[in-house]
Amino acid sequence: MAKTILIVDDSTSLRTVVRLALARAGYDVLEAGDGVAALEALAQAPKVHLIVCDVNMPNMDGITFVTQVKQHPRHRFIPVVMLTTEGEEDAKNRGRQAGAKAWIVKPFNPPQLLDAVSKLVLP
Amino acid sequence: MTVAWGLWALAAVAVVVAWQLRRSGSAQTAAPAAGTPPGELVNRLEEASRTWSTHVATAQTQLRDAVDQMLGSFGDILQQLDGLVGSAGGRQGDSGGLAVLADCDEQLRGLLANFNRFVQSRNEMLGTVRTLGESSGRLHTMAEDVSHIARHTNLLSINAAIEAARAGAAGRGFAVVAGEVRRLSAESGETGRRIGEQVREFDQHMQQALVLATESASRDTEAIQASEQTVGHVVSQVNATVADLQQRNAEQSAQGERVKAQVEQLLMAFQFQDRVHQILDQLRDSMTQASVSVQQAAARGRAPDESAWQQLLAAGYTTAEQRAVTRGNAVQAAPPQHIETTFF
Repeated sequence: MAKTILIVDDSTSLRTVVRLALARAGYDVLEAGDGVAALEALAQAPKVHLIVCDVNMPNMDGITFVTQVKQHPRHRFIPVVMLTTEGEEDAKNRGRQAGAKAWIVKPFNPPQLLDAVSKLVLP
Repeated sequence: MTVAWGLWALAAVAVVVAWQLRRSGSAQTAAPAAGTPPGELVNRLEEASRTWSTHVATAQTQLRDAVDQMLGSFGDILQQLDGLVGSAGGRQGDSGGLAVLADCDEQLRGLLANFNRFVQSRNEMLGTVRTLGESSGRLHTMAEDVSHIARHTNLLSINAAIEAARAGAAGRGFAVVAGEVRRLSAESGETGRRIGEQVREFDQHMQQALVLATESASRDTEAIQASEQTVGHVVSQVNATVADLQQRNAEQSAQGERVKAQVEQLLMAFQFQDRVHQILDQLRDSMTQASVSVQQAAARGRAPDESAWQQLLAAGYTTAEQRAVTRGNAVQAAPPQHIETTFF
């Protein structure tokens, strides 16, 4: 059974690129345009095995979203990979403190993303 | 084009703001220069900022729509390529066609083998018939022997009759016997003759049948040999065609894989749009904030604080190239090609 990955990014083009990369590797993909929509998607999805999340988004940014996920009793074990244009150490530290497991700076290449996903995705 | 326009707009705002700041700075130590009032200049700047910001937003919308549309099309192309390459690979990897062909070849050759066995069986039968023909020859000789014995017996009966006549009344009984023997020898001779005729007739028919059967067997053998050659030729042609098709499929599959890789690279290249939008979003926010800051500073009759102004310009930076611009390295500013994943 294919594992489900939630992509959270306000850029539809980025979501498309990530979705194609993941779907071609055999993953089922859910999408959300910001942190608020992502929380709703998590609430409705039967099971999410990993989250790929942008940082800078409207309504609710990625760091806030990850913080809330990690405080949620049902979702807190879902690993999160941050995928962002932010490459500064300060930003990475905020991601680590929020509970993210990996940080990838855009532009990414599919093998790089798939490598991180395969290492972290829930069984 | 959009990026260049946005940067040009940013530069234009910076020039206007710098000019205004210089004027405001000089106003701290001296009275405003005669001519256009500062308030009007600020209003013009605010208007220009708002207009440029709107243009940037319009360009962003158009860029986003166009890129989304292109991404959708590339996604469709990729999916179709998957189907094409998959089916080509499937045909390449599927040995079912070859197996069917080999099965057909085997069945055809099995059929020919059956025909061969049939011809062989008939040839054996012909050999038996030839043996019968030889036997009929011996029967013919035996019939001639019977006729020969009958003739000798007839001569003996004639001699016996002569000797019986010489004996007179004493040989009368013997004359009767000699007459019976003569009659029997005549019948034996006639029987031998008829047997000889029957054997000859039988032999004649059998030889005709043998000739016909031999000719037929020869024709069948030639037909089977021709069939074997035809089957071999057809199977060879089909083999060559299948091999050719397999090679074409392999080439098509390889070509499809190359095109897929190129399309995937193109798709990945569209990530530039995300960076461009982040830069332009920050630019728009910065223009608005700068305009407000200049208005507020003008109202106070002094330039914005230098440190606060720099913070305002850099607020909301998300990319390395934006920070490089602030450090004065705009020409070298370029998106990173690849940065290793950081695992926490």
